[in-house]
Amino acid sequence: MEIELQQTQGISIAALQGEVDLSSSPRARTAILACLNDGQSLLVDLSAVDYIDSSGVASLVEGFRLARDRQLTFGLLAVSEAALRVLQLARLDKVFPLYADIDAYQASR
Amino acid sequence: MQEDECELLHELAFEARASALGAVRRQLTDILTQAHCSAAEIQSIVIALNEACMNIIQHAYHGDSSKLIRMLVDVGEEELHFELLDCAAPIDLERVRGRSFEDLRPGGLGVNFITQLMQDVHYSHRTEQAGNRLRMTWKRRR
Repeated sequence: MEIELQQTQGISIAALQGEVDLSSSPRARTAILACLNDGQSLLVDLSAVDYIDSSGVASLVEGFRLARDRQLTFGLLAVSEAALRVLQLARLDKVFPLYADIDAYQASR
Repeated sequence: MQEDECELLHELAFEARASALGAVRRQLTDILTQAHCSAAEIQSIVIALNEACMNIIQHAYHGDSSKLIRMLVDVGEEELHFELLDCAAPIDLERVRGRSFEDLRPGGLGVNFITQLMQDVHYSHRTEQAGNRLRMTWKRRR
């Protein structure tokens, strides 16, 4: 799994690529929580995620909860079909804010 | 799982470590592709089996990566049967359950995924030696 962090249009974006599984999800969790602990609102781009397991989903849930506690924005961008299937299994597709792209996020504000 | 009843039996054995799971998913995908499963079926089965392996690594072996997991795949015309075997101390079968989806917290979703995706899920203790057995059935969609 690769993680690319960038800031654009006033928000941080963490783009995850590849397989977010039990061996790699701790790195995703660390990156997500570090952004939020730094006071940055965050969108996690899942467009290039080919696989995510429940440990990866748990990292997203932790981010969502931390952002809520800190009154920061947290959402998911361009969720791949593979990731969406797992979010649906976890009934989280209706919990996390999902955006097709950064423009859709900006338009929602 | 009785071998003489199988049309095609595959067996994988691998170390109970997180870094092994990517290769296991790919091997399982190859087996299911050869068994003419659809892409949607393969996706669901791989998710369920991966979560079951994760549960063994985390909750049966408690991270002891020197231990082995055996996965048996029985490919039949109407159904596919899966069996996961470990050599861990017997788990408390009463405690193997999913959690409420309303409870928004990290973790605890693996059993939910497995029971949602598989048509039959049965946990038991092994009788031939110490350890646990998980049997799952997938009914083919044709």
